[in-house]
Amino acid sequence: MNLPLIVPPQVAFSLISPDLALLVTSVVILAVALFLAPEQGIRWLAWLAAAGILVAAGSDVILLLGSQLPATTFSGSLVMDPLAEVLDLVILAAALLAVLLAANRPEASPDYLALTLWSAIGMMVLVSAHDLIVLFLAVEVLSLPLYILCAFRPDRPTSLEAAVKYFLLGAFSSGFLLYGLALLFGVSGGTNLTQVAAALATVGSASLFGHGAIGTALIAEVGIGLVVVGLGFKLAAVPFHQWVPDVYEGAPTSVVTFMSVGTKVAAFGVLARLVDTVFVGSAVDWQGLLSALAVATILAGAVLAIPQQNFKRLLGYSGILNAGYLVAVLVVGSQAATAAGVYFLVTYALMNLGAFAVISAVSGGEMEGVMIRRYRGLFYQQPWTAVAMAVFLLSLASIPPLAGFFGKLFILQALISGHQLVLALTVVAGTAITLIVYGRPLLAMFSPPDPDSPPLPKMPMAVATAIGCLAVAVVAVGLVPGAIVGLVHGVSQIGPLSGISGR
Amino acid sequence: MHSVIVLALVFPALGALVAAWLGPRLSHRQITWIGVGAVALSFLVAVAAFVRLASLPPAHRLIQDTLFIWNRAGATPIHFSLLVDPISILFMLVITGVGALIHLYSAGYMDDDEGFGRFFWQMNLFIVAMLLLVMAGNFFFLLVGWAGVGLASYFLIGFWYTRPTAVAAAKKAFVVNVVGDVALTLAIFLLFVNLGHVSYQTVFRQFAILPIATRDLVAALLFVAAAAKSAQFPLHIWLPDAMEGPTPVSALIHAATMVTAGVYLVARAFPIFGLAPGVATTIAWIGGFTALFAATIAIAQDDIKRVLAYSTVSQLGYMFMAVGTAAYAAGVFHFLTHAFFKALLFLAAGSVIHALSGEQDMWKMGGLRRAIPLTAATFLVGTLAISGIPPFAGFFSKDEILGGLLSGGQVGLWAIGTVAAGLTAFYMFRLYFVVFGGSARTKSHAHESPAVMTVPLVVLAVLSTVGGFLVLPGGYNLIESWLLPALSRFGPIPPLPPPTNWGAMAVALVVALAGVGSAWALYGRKAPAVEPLHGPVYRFLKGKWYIDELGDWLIVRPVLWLGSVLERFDRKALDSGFNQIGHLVAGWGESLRPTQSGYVRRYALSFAVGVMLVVAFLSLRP
Amino acid sequence: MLTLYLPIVIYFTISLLVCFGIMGASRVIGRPKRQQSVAKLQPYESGIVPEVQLGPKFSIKFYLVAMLFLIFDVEAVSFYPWAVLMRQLRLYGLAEMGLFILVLGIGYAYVWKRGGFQWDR
Repeated sequence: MNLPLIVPPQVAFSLISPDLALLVTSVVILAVALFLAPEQGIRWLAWLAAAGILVAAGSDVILLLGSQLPATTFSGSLVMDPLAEVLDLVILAAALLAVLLAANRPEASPDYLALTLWSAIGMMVLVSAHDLIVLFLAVEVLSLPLYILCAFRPDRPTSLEAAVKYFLLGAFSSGFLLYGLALLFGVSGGTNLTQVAAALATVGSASLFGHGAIGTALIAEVGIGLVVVGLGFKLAAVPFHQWVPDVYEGAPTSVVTFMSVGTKVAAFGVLARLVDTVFVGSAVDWQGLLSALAVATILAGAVLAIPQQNFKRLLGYSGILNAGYLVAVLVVGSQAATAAGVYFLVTYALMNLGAFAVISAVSGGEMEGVMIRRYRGLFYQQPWTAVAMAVFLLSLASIPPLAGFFGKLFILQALISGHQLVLALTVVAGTAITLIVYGRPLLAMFSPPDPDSPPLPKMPMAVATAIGCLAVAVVAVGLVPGAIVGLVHGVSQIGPLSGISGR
Repeated sequence: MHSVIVLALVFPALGALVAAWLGPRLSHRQITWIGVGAVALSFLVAVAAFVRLASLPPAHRLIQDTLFIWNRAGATPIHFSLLVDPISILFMLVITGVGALIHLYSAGYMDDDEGFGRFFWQMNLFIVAMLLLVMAGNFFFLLVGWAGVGLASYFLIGFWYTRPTAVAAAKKAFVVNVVGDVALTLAIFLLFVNLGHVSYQTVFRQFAILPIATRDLVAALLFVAAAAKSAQFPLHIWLPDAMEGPTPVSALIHAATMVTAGVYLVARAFPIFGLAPGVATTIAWIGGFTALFAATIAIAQDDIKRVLAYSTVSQLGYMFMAVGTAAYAAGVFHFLTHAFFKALLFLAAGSVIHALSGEQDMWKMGGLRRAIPLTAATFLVGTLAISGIPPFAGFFSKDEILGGLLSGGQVGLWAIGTVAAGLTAFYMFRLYFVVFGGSARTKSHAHESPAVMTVPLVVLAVLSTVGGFLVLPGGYNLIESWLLPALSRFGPIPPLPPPTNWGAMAVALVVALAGVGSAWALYGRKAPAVEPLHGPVYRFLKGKWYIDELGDWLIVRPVLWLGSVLERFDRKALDSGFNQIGHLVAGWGESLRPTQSGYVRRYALSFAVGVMLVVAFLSLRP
Repeated sequence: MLTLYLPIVIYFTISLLVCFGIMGASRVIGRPKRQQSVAKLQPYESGIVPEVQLGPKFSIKFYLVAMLFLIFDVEAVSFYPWAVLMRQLRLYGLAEMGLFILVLGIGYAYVWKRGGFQWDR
């Protein structure tokens, strides 16, 4: 028998060093945990995980500053470019905060740390994915640990409920995603995005009621539609959003902190890449589809957020709303618009991580602690916490001169220069409604406290530091928006895929 | 030198932060060290920058430092850039130098006040904002400083926030200042929209390409901003009320520095005003009218600080007369000497008030010459300086303005200025004689202030005496040779001022001496116990020309009436309308809640429906 | 062109009709809620009242063990291609597989340590 010679793929390990750092850290954590008693040394392991994340972030920064980018590796199935590396940094920040928040909580365990790191790896691979199979694998690597993490408070029925709901619906959506990817593969005969893009560019448009060749065109349309559905689920776009409030409410706050930012970043990243590489060249009406999704998502997210009494549910709907903005900016399809989306994501990550960190600290793991009424008079008990929370909420409501304002401003700029006036108006309407949404907890924090409310738990130093840093960052980015604009412009100037997509 | 000048901002900023953060935990002594030290260090930076500038050849005296890109708007990045040139360095030296002296003085004046720490961080904050105003390299950060000094002034006027009058005065000052802020903002918008830039150099270079109407509009808006900040008629109404603040605040903010920001703006933007001659003439005439108008009011005031406040308004009028007729060097020179002698007068007045435990009515003072001799002597120096008696500083700078007006053919303005100068000499010596001359009208135990307060008095008195020699009539003119080469960098060189006009000088001196003489005749020789003047004119002046009342009738009441009408409309129609919208949106929220049933099967169903919609949308598209 | 797809459309329509028809019919034929009785809600066992709960109970530990078995079983499948290509892959393949086994081993040890294989816990 004469087998063909197999050449092992050339892998540039320096390009995937952030992912490797997380992987090694997670394995080391499990190995070390073997020699520890179950409840012992979890603090140390948490610091170990944090150190691993910082190493990953450091190598990420080195890549960003270096001249290697953009580059591909693993035979072109992973692409490392400034877009991916900037989004990686956001993901790592979310993971770091999750680890810090969990360190003093019942959910802390070696499994928790390892699962968080694995999920982060999935997210980081997803934003670099340049191949249909890698894309799907990354989605699964991202999701499976999250399903488990949601159940990390088994003493609470809501936690288990959240996990089961997320798992069932997640599996459901994965099915559609996989189907869509399979159809795209069927159209193009290859899994690399370059091949897919080339194939889609030659397929004309078709309609069941129109003219033209139906076969491949229809397959391409359904394929793109289903891929958008699968990623829309991760992004929490309406009508694939219904898991969000329930899961956010039930899952441990540290996990929600992580997934609310990480999943969104990863899904946005891969969707932006697909738009940039595959969609723009195709005849499929992806702009119409994304516009419709964006309008529905923004309006439903904003309106449904109003009656919420539970802070985590409220932020869940706010996450849906912000996903709508991200989908909207993708419609424009230009690199400037992607840059605006990245800027928005960075600011959103700062304030959203901050808000969840405050919730986590104030609730101290109690279910009652996440109700908005519990925040009455927070200012009189923990003035700095209340001020930080006010900064995050005002920024979420896009009040100038905070970071959120500029994020929204750049999105509006991108939409208007892309002639998407309906979307721009929807974004404005959504912003107007959110003033009501974020106004309520703000009002509660600064009204006089209930005399019979229990005292608030003491905040660990690391968490207080993290909250302080995030609040300062939100203010600083707002005061000097130029700093990050420069970075993001760098992303758009080099271009997510210049020299790779052939555009 | 580059990037070092930013330290001038950093020191007071740190001082403000530290004093605000740790204030309650620090002793008064420590706060004094921090507050005074920060401004003194800033002064050293300014001196270093001055030395550096002076060492450069005249045409290259410019330090520009771009620290970072603040933001991008369209294609234009807006830089955070600092610009130090011969104009701004003079302002910087005064702000930090006089500022440091006044900070030192405050350490004594405010010592028994509970809000000691608050006072110092707010004063330091003011210094930061004021420095940013004069150091900014573009209109945008000028606006930031402009609004910042307004804020600090609001804080400090309302410093004693338990007094209703102080709070009302702070509010008034803020509202009038915002009129100016809005005008400045609009002017900057116009420049940015039409030119796409906000940096001084680009704007000035390209300003000529704008149509005449736009040029005039920009210049007029800039003037409204300057008039509001520098208390020019009719926007002067806030400044006398601002005396509710502590006296060092009045000295620093409402006499020496902030109120001269308008003068700075006109001098800085002179290429703009040079291309809008109509507006420039208006500036000069409004300045002239304000100088005379405020001087007449000052005659009839009884409150020692109000007299000084109206004299400040009047003197600012002189500066506007100068810059309005393109005599920038004369205007800046008068700003410089005025900063010395007006700060001196306010601080000396503060020393009087301090000595009499808060008394401000001059008719309850008297004979203080013997009780507080040092204060009296320094006050006399200030009075001589402002009255234009040689060889004190005011003589030279006022004469520079008046002589320039006469030689430039502005006879009307010159006449107004000269009359106002006579009135100034009259009311200032009235004040001096009533407060320090004669004998005590009420029982008091006046005592001289501590050294920490008298040392700044002496320093400022020396400066008020010798400051005028920067310009020697018929001889050299240091201010002009310092400023003009720098001005020519930004635009066409303004016409050179004519040589010294000896005739104008003689007339001014005679008029001033006449003012002093009549004050002596009325108040000095007889030392009356009550105001000897009376009659309808006196009442009219004492009532401040009833400008406040007029404003009340013309503006405040109609606005209040309109407000109440709109309020009714708002409540009846709009508010309920918006409430309806609010309830409607909230109602949607409620009505959509059942979609969130909590059942996974329902979620999956709606998911599946969504998938069908997506596929249908893409494949059934016609 | 469309005619090609006509059978599919017809099939699709019929299946939709059947689906919604049955659901609608049960709603129409079935009595309104207030007329339902306890007996009506019970499973139909030819008129005999059921005595035991349907569906046997068994321990959730079956699932756990089954899952763990599945994981390690599926991982073991990865050995086959390597075994076939061992000569071509040379040292590279050996190192890869060693790493793979190491990671798998740590996971196995961890599960063991956590008591994943203990039945009576």
